[in-house]
Amino acid sequence: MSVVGGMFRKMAILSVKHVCKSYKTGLIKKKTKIILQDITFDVQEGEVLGLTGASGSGKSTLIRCIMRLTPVDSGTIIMDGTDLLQLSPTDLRQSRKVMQMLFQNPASALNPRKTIRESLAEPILIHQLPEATLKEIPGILDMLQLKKDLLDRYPHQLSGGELQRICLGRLLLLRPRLLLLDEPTSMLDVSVQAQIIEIMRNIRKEYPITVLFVSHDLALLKAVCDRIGVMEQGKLLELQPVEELFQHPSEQYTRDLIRAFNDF
Amino acid sequence: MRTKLGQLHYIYKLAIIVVLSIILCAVLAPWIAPYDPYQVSIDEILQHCSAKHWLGTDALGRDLLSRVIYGARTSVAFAVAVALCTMLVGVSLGIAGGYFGGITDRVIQCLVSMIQGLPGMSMMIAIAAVLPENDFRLIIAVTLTSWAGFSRIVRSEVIRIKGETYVEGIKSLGAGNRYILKEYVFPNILPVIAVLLTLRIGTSLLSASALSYLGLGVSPPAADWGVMISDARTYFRSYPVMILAPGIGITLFSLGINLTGDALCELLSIKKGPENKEM
Repeated sequence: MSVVGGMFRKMAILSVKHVCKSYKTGLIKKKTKIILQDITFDVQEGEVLGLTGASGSGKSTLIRCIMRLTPVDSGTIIMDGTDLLQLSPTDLRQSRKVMQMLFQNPASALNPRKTIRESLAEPILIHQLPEATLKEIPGILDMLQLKKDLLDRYPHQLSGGELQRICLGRLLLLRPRLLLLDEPTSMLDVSVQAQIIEIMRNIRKEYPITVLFVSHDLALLKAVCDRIGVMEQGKLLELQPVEELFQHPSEQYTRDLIRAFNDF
Repeated sequence: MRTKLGQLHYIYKLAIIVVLSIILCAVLAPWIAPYDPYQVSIDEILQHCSAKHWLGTDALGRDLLSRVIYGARTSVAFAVAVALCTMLVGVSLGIAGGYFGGITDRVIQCLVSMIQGLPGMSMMIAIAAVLPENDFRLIIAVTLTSWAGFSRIVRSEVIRIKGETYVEGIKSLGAGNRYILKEYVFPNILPVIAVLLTLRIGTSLLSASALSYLGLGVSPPAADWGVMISDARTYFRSYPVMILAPGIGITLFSLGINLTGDALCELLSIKKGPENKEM
């Protein structure tokens, strides 16, 4: 069933239930803009779940809500039996260890005042991991196909692809069980995209990481995901295994999306 | 990439030299001043520039050059003390309001709006007038009336940095508020603080001199540029050097410190995006 990696087991690592999110807009006459409407789905342990949809459909907001970077209006987000929305700030910081997020723009994802070495050491410092973990950094750089002389450079001295791999390496030091990827390749050129995806495949061969992958790129999702969810205007229209979705889409919007993808 | 000291525009280098020279004069005053600035000499009152007294003497026969040199000591020390106190209050409240938001921010912004709605100099004079007569009243009066602007700028900068992806990134990595404030927010607002601090030193010098001129700051016979201008106002037409010498000191230091602030901003700022455009 799994295209990437072979650790797919039928057990939900993350359950998102009836999540709603809205913003108030307007200075005098307040209006409510609905961003997420009753989103419910499970992410099985070991799978790569893709989320796609047009810009503004709520994909990024959804994973920000899962990370609790954005508050939700209602619903539950359960990770390993714990409702993340009920956690205290201290418990939430602990839970971050097992759940990490990779952002879209690598150019602004690292503190410009820290060297790459300092940025890579941050997870160890924050979670007070044993100092021996620092010795894993060269191995991770090898896995990410990065040279060791990058360590003493600042973020502005690296290319976008290198930065994105550094960000990925920083997350991997914590050995997370769930990785949330918010369009991690959309700002990179095609060859660097392919390199990142190849690295992701290799990583999943070594560590059994579950991935929630948000992207506009249907071809990319088709290549790496086990299941794909389609979102439109804050609603999760359908969530199906990749072949099922491409062969028998149940929603008109999904059919239009796939037709546009095939035409392109 | 950071700008290096040698790459600065020559006007910035000149400003840094002027500021450092004034500070050096202030520190070395006992060794470089030709006369005791407090020594009254009835035989030498109101003398014009001469080889003996380069800038002449004042109405009590005191050597003007020595008083200008010693005046730098008092004026610069007060300006720096006032600017540091303003910075401490302004930065703390700006960071608290900008980072934590909510009710903390609303209370601080209410206070800021109240202070900024009042006429600054009048408030400064009123506060200095009601406080007991000592050297600290000047620092308290200027600090209480000028921290608000500082705080508002720092707050907006903190809000900007709080929204940066790298702050969200470190938050999602599990960092707490203390770590984020210490390692992310403070180092990234440092260039702004450096510029504001230097600007504040300049304006504090002007405020302190103005209060001294009005008799609410440093008390005579202390050698202070504001006090010297106040003492000289009746002799302006016949002995203009008495006003011009401390006036030029104030102008040079204010201008120099403002330009030094701009230079510091260039030295401390670094690029954010990749230099290599391969993305």
